[in-house]
Amino acid sequence: MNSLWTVMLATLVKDIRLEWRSKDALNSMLFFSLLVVVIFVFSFDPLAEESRHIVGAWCGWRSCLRL
Amino acid sequence: MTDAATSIITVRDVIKQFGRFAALRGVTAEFDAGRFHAILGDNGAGKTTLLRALAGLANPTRGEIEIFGKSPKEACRDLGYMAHPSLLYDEMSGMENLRYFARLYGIAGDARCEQAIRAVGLDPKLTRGVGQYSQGMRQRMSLARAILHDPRVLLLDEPFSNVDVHSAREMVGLLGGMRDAGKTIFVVTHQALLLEGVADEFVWMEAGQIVDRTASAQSHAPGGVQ
Repeated sequence: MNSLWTVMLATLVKDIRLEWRSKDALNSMLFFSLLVVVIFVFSFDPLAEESRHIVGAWCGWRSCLRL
Repeated sequence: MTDAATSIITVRDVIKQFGRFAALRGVTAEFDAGRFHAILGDNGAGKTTLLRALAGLANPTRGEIEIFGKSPKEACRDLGYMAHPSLLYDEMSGMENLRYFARLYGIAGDARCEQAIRAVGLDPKLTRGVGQYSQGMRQRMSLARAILHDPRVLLLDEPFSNVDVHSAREMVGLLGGMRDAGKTIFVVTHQALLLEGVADEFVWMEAGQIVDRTASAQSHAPGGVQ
Protein backbone atom coordinates (compact mmCIF):
# COMPACT_ATOMS: atom_id res chain seq x y z
CA MET A 1 0.00 0.00 0.00
CA ASN A 2 1.03 3.55 -0.57
CA SER A 3 2.95 5.35 2.17
CA LEU A 4 1.34 8.14 4.16
CA TRP A 5 4.05 10.59 3.09
CA THR A 6 3.47 9.95 -0.61
CA VAL A 7 -0.26 10.52 -0.16
CA MET A 8 0.35 13.69 1.86
CA LEU A 9 2.82 15.05 -0.69
CA ALA A 10 0.51 14.26 -3.62
CA THR A 11 -2.40 15.97 -1.85
CA LEU A 12 -0.27 19.00 -0.93
CA VAL A 13 0.94 19.43 -4.52
CA LYS A 14 -2.63 19.05 -5.78
CA ASP A 15 -4.01 21.61 -3.29
CA ILE A 16 -1.27 24.16 -4.06
CA ARG A 17 -1.84 23.71 -7.80
CA LEU A 18 -5.63 24.15 -7.40
CA GLU A 19 -5.15 27.21 -5.20
CA TRP A 20 -2.63 28.76 -7.59
CA ARG A 21 -5.15 28.43 -10.41
CA SER A 22 -8.40 29.32 -8.65
CA LYS A 23 -7.05 31.70 -5.95
CA ASP A 24 -10.29 31.14 -3.99
CA ALA A 25 -8.77 30.73 -0.53
CA LEU A 26 -6.01 33.28 -1.20
CA ASN A 27 -8.49 36.10 -1.84
CA SER A 28 -10.50 35.40 1.29
CA MET A 29 -7.28 34.94 3.30
CA LEU A 30 -5.94 38.36 2.23
CA PHE A 31 -9.28 40.00 2.98
CA PHE A 32 -9.41 38.33 6.41
CA SER A 33 -5.86 39.40 7.31
CA LEU A 34 -6.61 42.99 6.26
CA LEU A 35 -9.74 42.89 8.41
CA VAL A 36 -7.74 41.64 11.42
CA VAL A 37 -5.19 44.44 11.00
CA VAL A 38 -7.97 47.05 10.85
CA ILE A 39 -9.64 45.61 13.97
CA PHE A 40 -6.34 45.62 15.87
CA VAL A 41 -5.64 49.21 14.85
CA PHE A 42 -8.96 50.25 16.40
CA SER A 43 -8.63 47.93 19.40
CA PHE A 44 -5.16 48.95 20.63
CA ASP A 45 -4.19 52.51 21.26
CA PRO A 46 -0.41 52.64 20.58
CA LEU A 47 0.01 55.33 23.22
CA ALA A 48 -1.75 53.37 25.97
CA GLU A 49 0.24 51.89 28.83
CA GLU A 50 -1.07 48.38 28.11
CA SER A 51 0.17 48.50 24.51
CA ARG A 52 3.65 49.50 25.70
CA HIS A 53 3.61 46.49 28.03
CA ILE A 54 2.70 44.17 25.15
CA VAL A 55 5.51 45.59 22.99
CA GLY A 56 7.88 45.35 25.92
CA ALA A 57 6.98 41.71 26.53
CA TRP A 58 7.52 40.90 22.87
CA CYS A 59 10.93 42.61 22.87
CA GLY A 60 11.84 40.63 26.01
CA TRP A 61 10.94 37.34 24.36
CA ARG A 62 12.85 38.34 21.22
CA SER A 63 16.03 39.03 23.18
CA CYS A 64 15.59 35.72 25.08
CA LEU A 65 15.22 33.79 21.83
CA ARG A 66 17.99 35.89 20.19
CA LEU A 67 15.91 36.58 17.11
CA MET B 1 -28.61 -18.64 -14.06
CA THR B 2 -25.31 -18.31 -12.23
CA ASP B 3 -22.63 -20.90 -11.92
CA ALA B 4 -21.34 -21.09 -8.35
CA ALA B 5 -17.92 -22.23 -9.61
CA THR B 6 -17.26 -18.93 -11.36
CA SER B 7 -19.20 -16.52 -9.18
CA ILE B 8 -16.90 -13.88 -7.71
CA ILE B 9 -19.45 -11.71 -5.96
CA THR B 10 -21.88 -13.08 -3.43
CA VAL B 11 -24.60 -10.96 -1.87
CA ARG B 12 -26.45 -12.63 1.00
CA ASP B 13 -29.71 -11.27 2.37
CA VAL B 14 -28.45 -7.67 2.33
CA ILE B 15 -30.63 -5.06 3.96
CA LYS B 16 -29.67 -1.40 3.96
CA GLN B 17 -31.74 1.04 5.97
CA PHE B 18 -31.58 4.81 6.05
CA GLY B 19 -33.44 5.56 9.25
CA ARG B 20 -36.82 3.86 8.86
CA PHE B 21 -36.53 3.62 5.08
CA ALA B 22 -35.12 0.38 3.70
CA ALA B 23 -33.29 1.00 0.41
CA LEU B 24 -32.35 -2.68 0.07
CA ARG B 25 -34.71 -5.35 1.39
CA GLY B 26 -33.00 -8.71 1.56
CA VAL B 27 -31.01 -8.79 -1.68
CA THR B 28 -29.47 -12.18 -2.40
CA ALA B 29 -27.53 -12.81 -5.60
CA GLU B 30 -24.36 -14.23 -7.13
CA PHE B 31 -22.50 -12.62 -10.00
CA ASP B 32 -20.08 -14.32 -12.35
CA ALA B 33 -16.62 -13.19 -13.39
CA GLY B 34 -16.00 -11.61 -16.78
CA ARG B 35 -19.61 -10.66 -17.39
CA PHE B 36 -21.36 -7.40 -18.10
CA HIS B 37 -24.25 -6.85 -15.67
CA ALA B 38 -26.71 -4.02 -16.26
CA ILE B 39 -28.66 -3.02 -13.15
CA LEU B 40 -32.01 -1.50 -14.02
CA GLY B 41 -35.05 -0.18 -12.22
CA ASP B 42 -37.05 2.91 -11.39
CA ASN B 43 -35.79 5.76 -9.22
CA GLY B 44 -35.56 4.61 -5.61
CA ALA B 45 -35.39 0.93 -6.55
CA GLY B 46 -32.06 0.56 -4.73
CA LYS B 47 -29.68 0.34 -7.72
CA THR B 48 -27.18 2.95 -6.53
CA THR B 49 -27.37 1.68 -2.94
CA LEU B 50 -26.56 -1.85 -4.14
CA LEU B 51 -23.63 -0.52 -6.19
CA ARG B 52 -22.35 1.52 -3.25
CA ALA B 53 -22.65 -1.53 -1.00
CA LEU B 54 -20.64 -3.57 -3.53
CA ALA B 55 -18.02 -0.80 -3.61
CA GLY B 56 -17.78 -0.80 0.19
CA LEU B 57 -19.07 2.76 0.41
CA ALA B 58 -22.30 1.80 2.18
CA ASN B 59 -22.24 -0.74 5.00
CA PRO B 60 -25.24 -3.08 4.90
CA THR B 61 -27.47 -2.88 7.95
CA ARG B 62 -27.74 -6.67 7.78
CA GLY B 63 -26.42 -9.41 5.53
CA GLU B 64 -23.02 -9.75 3.90
CA ILE B 65 -21.22 -9.17 0.64
CA GLU B 66 -18.18 -11.10 -0.51
CA ILE B 67 -15.99 -10.13 -3.45
CA PHE B 68 -13.26 -12.65 -4.29
CA GLY B 69 -13.97 -14.16 -0.87
CA LYS B 70 -13.24 -10.88 0.92
CA SER B 71 -15.30 -7.98 2.22
CA PRO B 72 -15.70 -5.08 -0.24
CA LYS B 73 -13.32 -2.88 1.79
CA GLU B 74 -10.64 -5.59 1.77
CA ALA B 75 -11.15 -6.08 -1.97
CA CYS B 76 -11.02 -2.36 -2.79
CA ARG B 77 -7.84 -2.73 -4.88
CA ASP B 78 -9.83 -4.94 -7.23
CA LEU B 79 -12.72 -2.47 -7.52
CA GLY B 80 -13.04 0.54 -9.78
CA TYR B 81 -15.96 2.81 -8.89
CA MET B 82 -17.40 5.58 -11.00
CA ALA B 83 -19.89 7.71 -9.07
CA HIS B 84 -22.74 9.70 -10.58
CA PRO B 85 -20.87 13.03 -10.23
CA SER B 86 -17.49 12.97 -11.97
CA LEU B 87 -15.49 13.83 -8.79
CA LEU B 88 -12.69 15.37 -10.86
CA TYR B 89 -10.87 18.63 -10.14
CA ASP B 90 -12.10 21.20 -12.67
CA GLU B 91 -8.97 23.40 -12.53
CA MET B 92 -6.63 20.54 -13.40
CA SER B 93 -6.21 18.85 -16.76
CA GLY B 94 -7.22 15.22 -17.26
CA MET B 95 -3.61 14.07 -17.02
CA GLU B 96 -3.02 16.05 -13.80
CA ASN B 97 -6.19 14.59 -12.29
CA LEU B 98 -5.15 11.03 -13.11
CA ARG B 99 -1.57 11.68 -11.95
CA TYR B 100 -2.92 12.69 -8.54
CA PHE B 101 -5.13 9.60 -8.21
CA ALA B 102 -2.26 7.43 -9.46
CA ARG B 103 -0.06 8.68 -6.61
CA LEU B 104 -2.84 7.79 -4.15
CA TYR B 105 -2.85 4.26 -5.56
CA GLY B 106 0.96 4.16 -5.38
CA ILE B 107 1.39 4.10 -9.16
CA ALA B 108 4.62 5.84 -10.18
CA GLY B 109 5.25 7.48 -13.54
CA ASP B 110 2.82 8.67 -16.19
CA ALA B 111 2.65 5.60 -18.44
CA ARG B 112 -0.38 4.06 -16.71
CA CYS B 113 -2.24 7.43 -16.70
CA GLU B 114 -1.63 7.92 -20.42
CA GLN B 115 -2.74 4.34 -21.07
CA ALA B 116 -6.00 4.86 -19.12
CA ILE B 117 -6.77 8.13 -20.93
CA ARG B 118 -6.11 6.57 -24.34
CA ALA B 119 -8.24 3.54 -23.38
CA VAL B 120 -11.28 5.81 -23.06
CA GLY B 121 -10.55 7.55 -26.35
CA LEU B 122 -9.13 10.85 -25.05
CA ASP B 123 -5.82 12.56 -25.65
CA PRO B 124 -3.46 12.69 -22.63
CA LYS B 125 -1.85 15.85 -24.06
CA LEU B 126 -5.02 17.95 -23.60
CA THR B 127 -3.91 20.84 -21.39
CA ARG B 128 -7.20 22.57 -20.64
CA GLY B 129 -8.90 22.01 -17.31
CA VAL B 130 -11.51 19.29 -16.89
CA GLY B 131 -14.02 22.07 -16.14
CA GLN B 132 -13.85 23.01 -19.82
CA TYR B 133 -14.49 19.46 -21.04
CA SER B 134 -17.83 18.47 -22.53
CA GLN B 135 -20.06 16.22 -20.41
CA GLY B 136 -19.14 13.19 -22.54
CA MET B 137 -15.43 13.89 -22.08
CA ARG B 138 -15.88 14.27 -18.33
CA GLN B 139 -17.68 10.94 -18.13
CA ARG B 140 -14.87 9.33 -20.11
CA MET B 141 -12.25 10.88 -17.86
CA SER B 142 -14.19 9.62 -14.85
CA LEU B 143 -14.12 6.15 -16.41
CA ALA B 144 -10.37 6.53 -16.99
CA ARG B 145 -9.95 7.22 -13.28
CA ALA B 146 -12.00 4.12 -12.43
CA ILE B 147 -9.77 1.87 -14.57
CA LEU B 148 -6.51 3.58 -13.58
CA HIS B 149 -5.38 0.86 -11.15
CA ASP B 150 -6.49 -1.93 -13.49
CA PRO B 151 -9.28 -3.31 -11.26
CA ARG B 152 -10.93 -6.65 -11.98
CA VAL B 153 -14.41 -5.35 -11.21
CA LEU B 154 -15.87 -2.09 -12.51
CA LEU B 155 -18.86 -0.49 -10.75
CA LEU B 156 -20.34 2.33 -12.82
CA ASP B 157 -23.21 4.48 -11.62
CA GLU B 158 -25.14 6.00 -14.53
CA PRO B 159 -22.12 6.50 -16.81
CA PHE B 160 -24.33 7.56 -19.73
CA SER B 161 -26.34 10.27 -17.97
CA ASN B 162 -26.20 13.64 -19.79
CA VAL B 163 -24.22 12.04 -22.59
CA ASP B 164 -25.43 12.19 -26.20
CA VAL B 165 -26.41 8.93 -27.89
CA HIS B 166 -23.30 8.81 -30.10
CA SER B 167 -20.89 9.24 -27.16
CA ALA B 168 -22.93 6.82 -25.05
CA ARG B 169 -22.69 4.16 -27.79
CA GLU B 170 -18.93 4.70 -27.95
CA MET B 171 -18.72 4.25 -24.17
CA VAL B 172 -20.78 1.07 -24.38
CA GLY B 173 -18.35 -0.22 -27.01
CA LEU B 174 -15.44 0.60 -24.71
CA LEU B 175 -17.08 -1.24 -21.83
CA GLY B 176 -17.80 -4.23 -24.07
CA GLY B 177 -14.09 -4.31 -24.95
CA MET B 178 -13.16 -4.23 -21.26
CA ARG B 179 -15.55 -7.10 -20.57
CA ASP B 180 -13.93 -9.05 -23.42
CA ALA B 181 -10.57 -8.38 -21.75
CA GLY B 182 -11.87 -10.21 -18.67
CA LYS B 183 -13.24 -7.47 -16.47
CA THR B 184 -16.51 -7.88 -14.59
CA ILE B 185 -18.69 -4.84 -15.18
CA PHE B 186 -21.74 -3.51 -13.34
CA VAL B 187 -23.57 -0.59 -14.89
CA VAL B 188 -26.48 1.16 -13.20
CA THR B 189 -28.51 2.87 -15.89
CA HIS B 190 -31.96 3.86 -17.08
CA GLN B 191 -30.97 3.33 -20.72
CA ALA B 192 -31.48 -0.43 -20.97
CA LEU B 193 -31.79 -0.53 -24.76
CA LEU B 194 -28.38 1.07 -25.14
CA LEU B 195 -26.84 -2.03 -23.57
CA GLU B 196 -28.88 -4.53 -25.58
CA GLY B 197 -26.52 -6.95 -27.32
CA VAL B 198 -23.56 -5.89 -25.19
CA ALA B 199 -24.60 -6.63 -21.60
CA ASP B 200 -24.67 -10.33 -20.67
CA GLU B 201 -27.32 -9.93 -18.02
CA PHE B 202 -29.99 -7.43 -17.06
CA VAL B 203 -30.69 -7.29 -13.33
CA TRP B 204 -34.07 -5.70 -12.56
CA MET B 205 -34.71 -4.09 -9.20
CA GLU B 206 -37.93 -2.93 -7.60
CA ALA B 207 -38.48 -1.55 -4.10
CA GLY B 208 -35.06 -2.64 -2.84
CA GLN B 209 -35.17 -6.17 -4.24
CA ILE B 210 -33.89 -7.98 -7.31
CA VAL B 211 -37.07 -9.10 -9.05
CA ASP B 212 -35.73 -10.49 -12.32
CA ARG B 213 -32.53 -11.38 -14.14
CA THR B 214 -32.78 -11.65 -17.90
CA ALA B 215 -30.46 -12.05 -20.87
CA SER B 216 -32.24 -9.35 -22.83
CA ALA B 217 -33.59 -5.95 -21.85
CA GLN B 218 -36.84 -6.72 -23.64
CA SER B 219 -37.55 -10.08 -22.01
CA HIS B 220 -38.33 -8.59 -18.59
CA ALA B 221 -41.89 -9.15 -17.44
CA PRO B 222 -42.82 -6.38 -14.96
CA GLY B 223 -43.77 -7.89 -11.62
CA GLY B 224 -41.75 -11.07 -12.31
CA VAL B 225 -40.01 -12.74 -9.40
CA GLN B 226 -36.39 -13.82 -9.29
